[in-house]
Amino acid sequence: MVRALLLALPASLVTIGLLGVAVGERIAPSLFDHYRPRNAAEAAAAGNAAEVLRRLHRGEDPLREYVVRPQFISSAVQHASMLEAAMWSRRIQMFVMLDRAGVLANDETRHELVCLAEDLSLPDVAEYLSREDAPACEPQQALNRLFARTSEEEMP
Amino acid sequence: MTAQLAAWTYGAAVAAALGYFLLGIPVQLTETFGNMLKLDATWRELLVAEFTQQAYLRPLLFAQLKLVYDASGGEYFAWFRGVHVVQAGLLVALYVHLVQPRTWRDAATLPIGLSVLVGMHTFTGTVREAFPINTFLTIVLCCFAAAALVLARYRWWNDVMAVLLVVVATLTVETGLLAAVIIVCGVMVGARGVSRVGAVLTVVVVAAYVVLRLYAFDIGSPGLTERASGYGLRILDTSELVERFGENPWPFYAYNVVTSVLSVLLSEPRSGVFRLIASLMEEPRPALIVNVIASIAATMAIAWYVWNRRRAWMTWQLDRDDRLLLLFIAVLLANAVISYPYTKDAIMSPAGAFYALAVFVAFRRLVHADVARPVAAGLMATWCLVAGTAWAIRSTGTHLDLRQAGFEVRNEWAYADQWFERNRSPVEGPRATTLLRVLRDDAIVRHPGKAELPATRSPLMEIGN
Repeated sequence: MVRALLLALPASLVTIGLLGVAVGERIAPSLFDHYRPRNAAEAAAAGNAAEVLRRLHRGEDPLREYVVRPQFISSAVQHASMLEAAMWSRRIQMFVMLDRAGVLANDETRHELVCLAEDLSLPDVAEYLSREDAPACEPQQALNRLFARTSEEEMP
Repeated sequence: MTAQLAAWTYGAAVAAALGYFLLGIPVQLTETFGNMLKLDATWRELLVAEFTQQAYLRPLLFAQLKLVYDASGGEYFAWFRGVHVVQAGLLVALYVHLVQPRTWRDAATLPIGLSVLVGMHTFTGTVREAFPINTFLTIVLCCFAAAALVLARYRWWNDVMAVLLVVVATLTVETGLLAAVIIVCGVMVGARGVSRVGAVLTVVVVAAYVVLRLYAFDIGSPGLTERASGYGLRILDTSELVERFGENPWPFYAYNVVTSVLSVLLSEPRSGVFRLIASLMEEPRPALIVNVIASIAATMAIAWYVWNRRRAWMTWQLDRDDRLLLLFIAVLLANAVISYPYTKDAIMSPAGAFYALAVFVAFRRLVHADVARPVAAGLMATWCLVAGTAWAIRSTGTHLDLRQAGFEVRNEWAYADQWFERNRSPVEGPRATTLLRVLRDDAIVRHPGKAELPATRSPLMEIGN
């Protein structure tokens, strides 16, 4: 009987655990919040394009600054807009989608994103976003501005 | 009776968990949208088109799609994913029916059997892929149903059912031919659920299919130039395949057959590629090591069973468990032969499902075995623990992979317009535009994704494409 129990136990525990997840997600979804995006910026950083689109449809502002939990970008960047956070998805498709959704129309925003893409070594994103007549970026300045928001928040 | 009830309750729990994770996946974009557009045709147009096209002979695949499509009344997610969940539930029910757990030890063996069924890499690929009905799962169901028929008590209508089953399976996907293999082999190893006449009739159906396919519709099998394929430590593209095997493809076909068998027994190679060896040469991947440990533990149990039953087999005194195991061997070999042009996890799904039956049979005997020596008893207990744990990890991986599939499919819909551009297949006409909008809204707005579970990032499980 020991052999039967040793054989049965791991799989039975897994089945109970999976059913626990199913029930838990219904009655206490906050238990599973660690990697669930709480806002558009977290969704964009995680590369969750569908969630970004859903939140845009719901009317969330792509330029609004959100609190981003460290597991989505890093402890150094905890305040970002959806467009800035999208850089960490490292997917050019995300920016094509956002462009087509009409949220990249502002030249100033676009230029700041080009500089951020260059700072993060995302040449394809930078190339896609850049306009011919845009001024050159100062290296690391866009990224430093983003870092500064988190460090300002952390200052007493 | 109580042990049987416990076994069926456990089966229901496994099916419920699987169903819950399946419901997290929207209707797919790739390999689905084009198929769904075809379904607006009339039954006659659809079947004529499918019977007269040159690439495949799968008319009943489209018949099943149209049946659900017409019944859905536009509620595509509920109907197509609902069918998927029902398929998964039926599969588990047929599995429990086939292994017939009767004692408490049998009931305790069921968790590892179902873990193998759900945790096999052949199942993961199968349960993920949908067109939008999960066709490979349909074939696994047909194969299990064929086994249930041939192993049942004889009734005259079993013969009729067997022939119908083979017709439906064969005209759905090519691997449906395995349903006939199961009926015929079942009769050969002494199962009496289907008569010899019934078995001969299934062979006639297969012969008719071959004639129809090769001569009436002129549909051959895939050539070397159709798709890239795994060979050795990497994938060879079509030009490399032609360069190496263009003049004599038989070594390549033999490689595919042998590696298909190995992939079921050892989880390596996969789709023709020895991934574990390749990864050990660069960066070892714990998930691949877990897979191989799990498979070795289970395959050893099968080998132990065969060794233990050798005398009975040699005198042809076969019981139901022997027949199930022999059916596994027949399905494994036939499935591997069908995979000769190219090998892929989902194509080997019937063999993977029968492997799960064989593993149950083997471990059932192992947990019942009397072992006098303490060292041997200790070794067997360790063996059971290792197998149980490794397969539990693999089964968890399948569920987490379904969660990941939901994420990937939703992103496909978010990037749908870019996908259509890349494939140079513009969405034209009001019908296509409406269908695209409905399916996209289903995936993104009406059924948003669930949270990623932290275990998804565990290196012990293979998750994601």
